[in-house]
Order: sequence, then C-alpha cells, then structure tokens
Amino acid sequence: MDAVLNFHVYGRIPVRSDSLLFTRLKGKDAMIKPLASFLKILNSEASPGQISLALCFSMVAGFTPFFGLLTLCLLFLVLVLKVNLSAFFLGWGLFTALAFLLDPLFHGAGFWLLSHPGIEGFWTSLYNMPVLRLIRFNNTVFMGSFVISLLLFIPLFFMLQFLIKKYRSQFMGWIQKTRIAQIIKGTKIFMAYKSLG
Amino acid sequence: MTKWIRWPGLAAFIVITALLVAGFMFLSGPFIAKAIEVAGTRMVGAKVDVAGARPGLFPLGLSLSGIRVTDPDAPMTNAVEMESIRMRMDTKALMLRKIEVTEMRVEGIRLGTPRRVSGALPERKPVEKEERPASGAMDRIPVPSMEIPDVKTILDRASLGSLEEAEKLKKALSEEYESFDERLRNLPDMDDLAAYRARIDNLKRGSGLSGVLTGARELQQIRDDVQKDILALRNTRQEMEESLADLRRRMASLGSMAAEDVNQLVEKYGISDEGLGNITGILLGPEWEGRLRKGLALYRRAEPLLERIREREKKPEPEKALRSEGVDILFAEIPERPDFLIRSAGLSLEIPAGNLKGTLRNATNRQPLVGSPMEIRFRGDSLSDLESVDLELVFNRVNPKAPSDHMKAGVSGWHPDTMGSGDLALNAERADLTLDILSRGRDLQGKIALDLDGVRFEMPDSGDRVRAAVASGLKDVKRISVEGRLGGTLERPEIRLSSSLDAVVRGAVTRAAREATETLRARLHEEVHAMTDKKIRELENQLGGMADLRAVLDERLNMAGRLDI
Repeated sequence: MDAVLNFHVYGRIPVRSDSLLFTRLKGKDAMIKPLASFLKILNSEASPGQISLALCFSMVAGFTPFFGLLTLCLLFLVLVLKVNLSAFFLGWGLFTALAFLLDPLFHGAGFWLLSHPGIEGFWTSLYNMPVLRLIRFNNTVFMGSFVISLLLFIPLFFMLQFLIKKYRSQFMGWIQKTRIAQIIKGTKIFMAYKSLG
Repeated sequence: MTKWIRWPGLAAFIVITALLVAGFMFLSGPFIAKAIEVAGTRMVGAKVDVAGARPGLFPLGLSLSGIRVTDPDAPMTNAVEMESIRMRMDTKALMLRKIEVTEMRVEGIRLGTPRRVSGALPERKPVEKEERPASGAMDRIPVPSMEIPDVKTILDRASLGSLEEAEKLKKALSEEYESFDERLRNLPDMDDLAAYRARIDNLKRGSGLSGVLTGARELQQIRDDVQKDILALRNTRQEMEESLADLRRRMASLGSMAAEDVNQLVEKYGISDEGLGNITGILLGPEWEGRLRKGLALYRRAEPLLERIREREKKPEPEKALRSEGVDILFAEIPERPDFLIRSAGLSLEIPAGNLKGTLRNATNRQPLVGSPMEIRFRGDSLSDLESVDLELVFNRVNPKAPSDHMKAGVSGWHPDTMGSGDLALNAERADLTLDILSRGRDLQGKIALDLDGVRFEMPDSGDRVRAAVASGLKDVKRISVEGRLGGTLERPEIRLSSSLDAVVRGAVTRAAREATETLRARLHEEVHAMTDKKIRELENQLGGMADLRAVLDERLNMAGRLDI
C-alpha cells in the first residue's frame, strides 16, 4: 500500500504522519512531496476510475468541515470500494487546504440554502431526524460545502478520468523525461517511495 | 461487481471504528469531567469538582464519581457532595443534542461537608454577608426584663417633674419676696405714718383765725397724702395676696405631680407581662427563622434552574461569516423537547441520623414541555435518634405564569437539640414535626406543627421573683404543642409561633409581675413623696417670709387707718 502523506484527524487540521520517512522531510523535499506522490499515483497501475473516484470522495471529505458521521461513511466507502487509497488521502489533504479558501463561499451558499423560505419545511423535517442532526447539516459551512461537493462530484469524476487517461496516453512519457521529473526522481523521497512501492 | 468491493477494507473500517470508539471510551472521561466542572462552576459561582467520569455505550450513559459542589458563601464547605452518579441516556434525544436521562442513580449525597481546599473562585469578590439573625435565641431576643432596678438607682436616673416644679416655685418665691420687700421699703413705713400723726397733732394745737385757716389747708393736704399712701399699701397687699394664692396653688399641685412621677417610673421600670407571654417565640422563633431563611436562600438559588435560562433564536442572523465554523441555523423542533430532563432518579441522602432513600422525577428547566412538575421525595425509617423522616417537594412550573411550589415534611420521634440558650433553655425527649409550605409566585403560606414530649426547662435561679414564677410555671409542663404560621414573601418571610406554653407562662408571670410592680410602686411613692414633701416644707418656710411681709403691710395699713384725719 502506498504511504499516506496527510490525513485528517479533526476538522480541517491536517496532521503529518510520524513515520521515519516523513521525519526527514525538510524544506524543498516537503514541497515536492505531494507532487511526487501525485505523479506516483498517476504513473501507478491503478485505473483512472479508481483514482478519479478516490479524489471525488476526498473532495467531499476535505470540503466538509467536521470529522463526524459523514466522514465515517466516506471512510467506509473508500475502504470497501476499490478506490485508490493514496489518491483519497492525498486528495483529502489538498481539498482540506483548498476548503480554507472556499469556506466563505460555502458559508454563503449554506446560509442561502438553509434560510430559503421555500424549503424551510423540508429543512425542519430533516432537523427533527436524529441522524441528520448528528452530522450538523444545519451548519452553513457544512451545508454549503456538502452541496457544492455533491454538485461537483460527477463532473469532477468524469473530468479527472478523462484527464488521467489523456495524461497516461500523451504526457506520461514526456513528463518523465522533463527536468522536474528527473529532479523528483533524484530526491531521497522519491527513492524511498519507490522502495515502498 | 466484486471487482469494486475490497473486503479487507471492511475489516479495516471495523478496526478503525472500533479504535475510535475505544479511544472515546477510554480517553474521553477526563474531558467530560472537566467539561462538567467548568459548566458547573460557572452555574454555581464556586468550584465544582468531579473526580472521574466514564461514558458508556451499551446502554448509552455516563458514570460520574466524587462530585463536590462548593457552597459559594462558605468556600471551605461543600453545599452538596455525591459519591457517584450513574445515568442512562436517551440515544435519540442525545443525537438531537438534548440531554434526557431516562434512569439515574445518585449514591452518597451528603450536605455541608468540609473541604480540604477552598472552593472559592479567584475572580469572585468576597460576598458581603447580610446581617443575619444570630442562631441563639437569647443573642437576639432576650427574655423580657425580669429584674427591677434599685429604687435609688431609678431615682438617680429619673428626672422628676414634681421636684423640678418645686425648684421653680422656690425660685419664684424668692423673686416675689425680694420684689415685695423692695416695694415695702418704698412704701410709707411706721415712721412716715407717725410723722403724719405728729403733724396732725400740731395742727390741732394751732390758734387764731389765720391759724385755723392755714391748719385746715394743711390738714387737707395731709389727708390727701395719707389717702394716697393707704391706697399704695392696699394695692401692694392685694398683689401680695394674689401672688401668695398662686404660689399656694402651685405648691398644692406638687403632691399630684409626685403621684404622676411615680406612675411614670412604674411604667418605665415595672415588669410587663406582654412580652413574657410569647415565650414560644422567644424560645424557638430565632432558630426557626434562621432555618427558614437558610432554606429559602437555597430555594432562591436553585429556582433559576427550574426555568428556561435562554431563549434560542429560530434563525439567528450571522454577524459575520465565520471561517470554517459557520453558523448553526435552528429550526422548529417537533415535538419540542427540553434541553435537559431527568425522567427518574433514585437518590440516597446521608444525614447524621442515617440514610434516606429518595426519588426525583421530571427534573427539567422546561416543565411546560414535559407537562409534569418536578417532584423530589425522601423517606427514611429506623434511623438513629429518629423514627422516620418524610419529605416531599413539588416544584410546579408547568404554567410558567403561575409557579407554585409545595413542600411537605414530617419528622417523627426526633430527639431535638437544646432550644434557646443562656437564661432559658428547653430540652425535649422527643419531637414530632410536620411542615406544609406553599409558595405561589413570591408569596409564602405555610403551617408548622411541632409536638414536644418529655419537656424539661433549664433556668438558672437568680433570686428574682418573676424568674422564679416563670420557672415555677414551666416546672409542670411536660408536653408542648407548637403551631406556626408562615407568611410574607420569599424575600421577607414572616413566622409566627404560638403554643400551649404561652398561656401557662403568661398566667404564672402576670401574678408575680404585678406583685413586683406594686412593691416598686409603693417604694417609689414613699421616696418620691418624701422628697417632694421636703421641698414643700422648704417652700412653706419661704411662704412664711412672704406672710411676714404681709403682716408688716397690715400693720402699716392699720396705723394709717387710725390716723383719724
């Protein structure tokens, strides 16, 4: 299994793994690490569908703000479904970082939805469902991020699948010959990844 | 399909979930305890300690141990201490963020236990304590005076009207005497009158017509002068008579003024049986009032917990977009549930006499939603120094506009502590107490009935007659039935106590008090009248001086009348 670079423990705070490998990460290596991981995933044997679905799930997990029932459900799905776990955990970290920038947008969208008079009855009925109260659907950031990530889920899935296929057929060979790819390949990190792989 | 399923992932998920649950179970206790401490401390205003907390999942619940709630007014004392609380919670309610305890067991409740370290909050300013009634009866309401001060002491302190009037009279008499004496000196005296006689006699010896004519004119002149002098003498005598009459009248009133002085002194220093009649209030009043005030203070402190503290807004408008936190939009709850509800709890209260078993039902801050009042019941039998205890408290806030709380208590076969203190103390072998107190809004209404058996009074013998009478009256009392009426408001409670003892004491005391007072009256009469009589005698002596002046006047008038002009 690929090494996990980032994972969520609580809310939006990414916590770095404490393995020997990552304790060596410093400065430039730390910046290159996600890129190297991403390239490794793209260049792996995993199918584009598995990678795309993992990234879509990670988008939902990364955008939504709480570690709760929804996160557990997503974990269940990514563990049970044959999606690329490395892509999921890498994506989770990236989308979490992105969510910090998008939170105002999520809040605005969530507030608009939750306070819309036409669907107040619907929200009220959901509000009285214990399970839904548990995921805090009535939180503006949660609602905004969840709805936006759901809306983006299918388009993102197909778009990522298309891009991965395109990358593998047309760009993978060229990229591997580029100077940056050589640098990445030359780093201790990449060597370590390779040895793990 | 199977190419999309990763069966080991299911096992991994189960392991991860199990680890999360186990982590919550084993690691969350201190956080829960801390959260309860923080919330409790904020609510009580003094430190709340929770030694341990352990959540449970199957069934969902929580166990707490070593709960100590500091008394905010006495930081070295715990208002309540509980050994353990075990509760089972409603899962659905908890998911809806409500705390609904379906079953609870509270063991080892103790009240007023000492603390090793102060539970005062550092930022809390020390409370300026109100002037509270002292716990000892005699400290605040002494037994009404049973001792009569010495007559000499009374008279030294007293300012007697009769003596003051006598002093005024003495001064007035002196002034009058000096005034008339001065006037007498200016009026024709015996020499002047003798001179008139000599001149008349000379005129009578005159001869010749011219002598007769001159003599007649001079005689007329003497007659006019004598008439004038007689008139002046008569006027002075008249004024002197009037002055003497006025002084005599004032002297005569000194006797009645002395009698009035005696009455006033008797009233001031004599014994009134009115205060002694309410011996029940003197013996029990302050102690019971103290207990009542303490109970009501506790009740007032707990009262806000029975009512909803905060009104949740249905849709709060966010002040600003809070990054990554957002705003929780609240919708109508159907059905609406209270934030906090204990449906049923078993309680175990430890008092010095033993253990009381109790129940608590419907404890919530929103009774209208539950539709039932909060009820607390305690019962204990076969306790040490106590036959039984029954306590029933009903806090009814189902209709928030008409709150009504009811307390009923019964204590049987209780061996009470000594009541009263100092110069009158009461001991009883057995006491039975019933209390029925109702609070509607802020108004209090209540009845207290206390039966004391095997009663014994302690009253040191001081040789005082009234004390002896009280002691004698109380000697035969073996049983007392005390009735109390509670009224007023929660802020200003009023308690009135009466008992069969009052009549007994009043009867015994009245007779002795009257006898003592009559003795005082007789002695005061004797002393005051002795002093007044002495003053009267002095005044009469002074009046004698005035009489001498009058005699002088009379003599002059007689002589003037005998001039035979």
